[in-house]
Amino acid sequence: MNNILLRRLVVLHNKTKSISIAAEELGDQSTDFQTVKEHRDAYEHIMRIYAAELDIVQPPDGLTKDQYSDKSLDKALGHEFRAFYDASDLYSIRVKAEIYNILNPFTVDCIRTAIPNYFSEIKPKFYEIIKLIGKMRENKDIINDITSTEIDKYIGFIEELENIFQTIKRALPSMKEFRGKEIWDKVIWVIAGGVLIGLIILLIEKLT
Amino acid sequence: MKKWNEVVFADFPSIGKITQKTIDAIKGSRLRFRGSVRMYQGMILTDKAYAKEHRNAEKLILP
Repeated sequence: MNNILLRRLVVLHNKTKSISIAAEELGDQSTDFQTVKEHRDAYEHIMRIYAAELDIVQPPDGLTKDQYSDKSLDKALGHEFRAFYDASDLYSIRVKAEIYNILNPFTVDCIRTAIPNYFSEIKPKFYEIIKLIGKMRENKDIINDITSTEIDKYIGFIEELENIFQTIKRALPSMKEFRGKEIWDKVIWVIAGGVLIGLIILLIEKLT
Repeated sequence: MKKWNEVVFADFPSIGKITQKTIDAIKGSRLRFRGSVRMYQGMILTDKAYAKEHRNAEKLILP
């Protein structure tokens, strides 16, 4: 069996598994059946390889065991990539909703203070990754033409998305603290304004 | 039913669309099967729910 292809399959399967678990922990915690279906189909091709390897069946179309094994591993990899896409897609939309829910209650100043590079780097990067995942969606059905370099590139996008999500989650306590200060500043300004207006009224009354 | 070694190269039946009916059927059979707890509790996105979640996320504009 082609160990390079097999290794790629194992790594991709487990990366997808990790993304699936992460996606299931977000939102309403429901799962996407499409990912499960693609994993089942990948497993089916691996079973076919072993059926040929163990002489349970003869490889079809006059192929040798090695040729059939490579062909089936390629097909399994295609299904694994589709599973990776489906899991990534669900993860990305849930992460977006989570980031929105975290940031939405806070002011621009608050976000800028807690995450200084949010507006200059993180937000543009986030939208760029979302766009790239969209491209990945377009490629989903021509998956057999996708190289391992591209797969690694896509895995990199998801890892970056995860980093962004973690950065924003880590900044939550700072944002809450800053919001507290913002509220306190407003209260002080209202009190100071009230006192000032009171003094002006008092002064006017004394002068008249 | 075909023999097990006759179906090695056969494809599984198509799953088709995942609807509320699918989820109800899965939940209805949970006492007879063991498997993913999440699935047997019906925590599966229907195609409609998936599309809705997608649309909602696309509409969100981050601050």
